[in-house]
Amino acid sequence: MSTPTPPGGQRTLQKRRQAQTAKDKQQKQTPASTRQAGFGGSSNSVLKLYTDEANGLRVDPLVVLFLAVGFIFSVVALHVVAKVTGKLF
Amino acid sequence: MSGRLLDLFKPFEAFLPEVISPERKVPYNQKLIWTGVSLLIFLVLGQIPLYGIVSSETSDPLYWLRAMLASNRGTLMELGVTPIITSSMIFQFLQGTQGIHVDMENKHDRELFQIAQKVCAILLTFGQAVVVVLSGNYGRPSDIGIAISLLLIFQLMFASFIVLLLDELLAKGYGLGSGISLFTATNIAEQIFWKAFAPTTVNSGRGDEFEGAVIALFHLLAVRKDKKRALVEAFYRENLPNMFQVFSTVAVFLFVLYLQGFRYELPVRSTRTRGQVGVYPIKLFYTSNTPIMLQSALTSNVFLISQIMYQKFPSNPVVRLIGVWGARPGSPMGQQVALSGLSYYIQPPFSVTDAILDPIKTVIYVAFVLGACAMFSKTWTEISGTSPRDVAKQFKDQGLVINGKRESSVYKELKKIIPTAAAFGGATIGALSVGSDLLGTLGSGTSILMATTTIYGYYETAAKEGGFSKNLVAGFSELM
Repeated sequence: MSTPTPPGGQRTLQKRRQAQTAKDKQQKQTPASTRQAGFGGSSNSVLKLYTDEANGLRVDPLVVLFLAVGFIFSVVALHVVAKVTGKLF
Repeated sequence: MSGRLLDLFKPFEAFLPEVISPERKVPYNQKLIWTGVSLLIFLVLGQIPLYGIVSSETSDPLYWLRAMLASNRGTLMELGVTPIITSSMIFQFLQGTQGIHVDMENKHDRELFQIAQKVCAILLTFGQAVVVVLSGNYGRPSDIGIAISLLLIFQLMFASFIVLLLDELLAKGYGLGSGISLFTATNIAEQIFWKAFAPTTVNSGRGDEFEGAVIALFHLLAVRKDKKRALVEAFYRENLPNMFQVFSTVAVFLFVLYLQGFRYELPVRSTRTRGQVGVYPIKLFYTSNTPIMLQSALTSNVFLISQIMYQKFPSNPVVRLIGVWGARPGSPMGQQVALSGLSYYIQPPFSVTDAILDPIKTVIYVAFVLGACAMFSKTWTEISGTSPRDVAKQFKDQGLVINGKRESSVYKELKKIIPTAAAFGGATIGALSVGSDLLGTLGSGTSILMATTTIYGYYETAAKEGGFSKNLVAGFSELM
């Protein structure tokens, strides 16, 4: 006959500690090698990229997209303006 | 002293824009969308012509590098991913050869390393843009005018800057993997599809012919009276892409995919957690497409230098020994090819007939490619930190041992397998490249291999992320 263990106590603390260390480990781990980055036993490509956070000028990914689209439109606009002015004058 | 070199880049830290890492794990579907959108932007950049070009009708000096560097002539992607790849290669070789000391365990060092790479990439972009414009690639600078020249440089720089940011965005975890390899693979796939389905027509005296192989097949079958001869022509026409090339491309693609599955599975068990067993796969393509990339980078650079020297000093005996260049009859756009000299021997043959006509050249070429790929592959394992010693150290750190072997013999076992796998894998990939060049695939063998290996890598990542339903993966891997 077994009674369910009461909540709290040694075991819960142990579990919490384990979860905490696992979490810490995962957060600390950065893919410093291609294997850790998930490429099995083989190096996948020439490029090794480190995905760390540097504290520079931080940009939202959406800003990058808008920047790119804006640039594309401005170049197209230049072409169009050149064409139109060539036609008019 | 060498540690100081990295500290030089510290002041740039505050000014370099950098994409914010995602705060939590990005779901698979969002990753797909980010990857697709960045790819779309890259492709659009590759199709918009630069503003201010006068002429670009000269022979393309960078012809051999285009496929590898995802660049299109006369468009915003003139430089492609060149600066990024170059700077990352420079720094990796510096690090691999202990030229600069970087402590990869130290977060601050890693950051500085990254910043240094980026600064170097931007400087290289500026240098290359200036050289491209001033060397008269788009018309003589005096004809273009100073304002337009500056505008051209600005356009090239900004486009490359956007690619740098897009690549970072993809690599930081919004996308499925590295942007650079994705861009290159897409560019190659685009060229292959264009050659198969191009709707443009060419008139070489016998009426209009479609450039695309598949379209030409249907056109010839529909228009010509004699269906048999039409079929033969669609399959074997010499001057334009034909159906035989399409089929050989598909065959090479499938064969490379089949070979990707070759692996040696080392049974490992954990010493820390008893009873935990697993396998450590060592693939046949241990270094993936790196050897072929390095080999083609080497030959492209030899070609580039030889071509420039031949243009300047056409009668110098040493220059003639390195390479004599001229247009091949029937080649499009008057593209220059090596006619004799060292460059001729390391230039891939254009067809099987070409290879049979000059057997000595073929033998030398095959030996060169296989040898170079095997050597690069072996060297690359040392540099990239996947040599037996490094892997043995990883095993030790993670508390893994080979099942049924002593702990001390891990290194010995790995040393038996890894160098052989690397050298043989390199030679295999070289042989594949030679084979596809001889078969006459659409696009060069190197580019097809690069595209295939990259796409397969992405497929693996996607499968690992759990993007496909389990059934499909299992069925697919059984097929492999």
